[in-house]
Amino acid sequence: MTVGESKTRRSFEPEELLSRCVGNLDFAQHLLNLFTARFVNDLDQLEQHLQLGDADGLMRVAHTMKGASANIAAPGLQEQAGRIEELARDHRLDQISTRLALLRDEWARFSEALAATGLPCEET
Amino acid sequence: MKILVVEDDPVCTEMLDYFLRQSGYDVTLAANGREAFDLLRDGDFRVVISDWEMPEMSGLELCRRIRNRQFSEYVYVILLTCREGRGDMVAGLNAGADDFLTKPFQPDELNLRVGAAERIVKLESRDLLIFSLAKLAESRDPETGAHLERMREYCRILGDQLSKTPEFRDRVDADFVRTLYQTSPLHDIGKVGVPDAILLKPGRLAPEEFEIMKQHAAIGGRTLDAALQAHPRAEYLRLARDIAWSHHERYDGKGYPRGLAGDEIPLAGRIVAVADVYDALTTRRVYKPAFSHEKAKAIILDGRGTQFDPSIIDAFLAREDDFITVKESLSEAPDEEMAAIPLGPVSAG
Repeated sequence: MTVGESKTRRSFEPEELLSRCVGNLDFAQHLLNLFTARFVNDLDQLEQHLQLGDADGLMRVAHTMKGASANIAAPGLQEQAGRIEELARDHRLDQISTRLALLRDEWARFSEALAATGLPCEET
Repeated sequence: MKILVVEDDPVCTEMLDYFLRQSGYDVTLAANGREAFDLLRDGDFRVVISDWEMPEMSGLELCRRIRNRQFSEYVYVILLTCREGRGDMVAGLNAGADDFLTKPFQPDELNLRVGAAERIVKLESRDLLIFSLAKLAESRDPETGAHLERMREYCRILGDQLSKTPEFRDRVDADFVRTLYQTSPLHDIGKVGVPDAILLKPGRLAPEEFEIMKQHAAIGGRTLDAALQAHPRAEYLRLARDIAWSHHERYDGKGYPRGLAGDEIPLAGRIVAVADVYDALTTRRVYKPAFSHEKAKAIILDGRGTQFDPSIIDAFLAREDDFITVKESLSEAPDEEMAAIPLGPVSAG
């Protein structure tokens, strides 16, 4: 499994994920399926919480996305979700909209990187 | 072992569930602290692995509630943290967490942390079991209250001395001495099977009564052997069984219940034999006054090579002063005082 240019590598580190799955490709695939299904849903949740001005909801969902991204070896998503979590914790909701756009961009990059590994997921 | 995993992230949940099951653990999943607490009240989980931040009830709050609730058995809690959350560990420890696992984790680290948790909860079970059995033994022991305490101290001294000799250095290490210390109070556990009329008889036992009294060694040995068969890896049960079964054997083969001789007698049994007799000699019994250390020593030396293993007697002589210290610090009353108490008829026990 190889990943393209450095920008893409940063979005997804499949070797790291496989290492955590002790080389079990099927299990890694299963986790990716779980992750992508949940992440798409969480992106929508973030939008809804932002519209409602619900800082706690934003913080909670962003925290979960950050943790899940770390587990799946997606450092770019982890970083962007972490920034939203921090902003929500500080009640700086006015800056979250921009961050949310960056998170969506990173999600697109992650999806590309994932497709390049030959491990496309059901939901991507 | 049953493990409760509390995590709201499905990816992390799946990883924990998969790797813990692969390692042979019985895993139950909860999505938040509240659900976990309900499961804890109804189940018998010994280890909880919980995420820190969750909806409904956080891992920290779950941890606090577990500690406040004081379950019948200790619940070992591992909190999941993210790398930047390591500074919160003090808060986690204050809430009662036992360990932390940083996300994302490697399966090896998960196994190591859970393995440590398993060792600790088993240790607690072991100590509780030994303590409970020792209390049971004590309740059926007509001798003085501190008998078991002195016994285990004498055993520890003898074990410690033997560990320094070339002959026993390879067999008697710190772990052996520690386990000997913990399990020696179980030497008379078989007395639970001896009728009160015989066990508590204030006078000399008739020959047939003495035969029944002697059965306590085999009763204790067989009882602990049954427990050992069910848990063959529990070395402390093996030692406890050996002690209960063999502490009345004699080095010359004339003891009971099996008439074992010399090295056929388990080492722990040979050690406890000396400790038990020394304590019987130096404390008052219904049939005799408390003998002085010198008198007890003379009687024990007289049994060297016949009643007792000569190596254990050498260890006793080398640590004579320690025996005296224990005898004096854990005695109920001065020898003279006890010697002045009118004696009943001689009994066996």
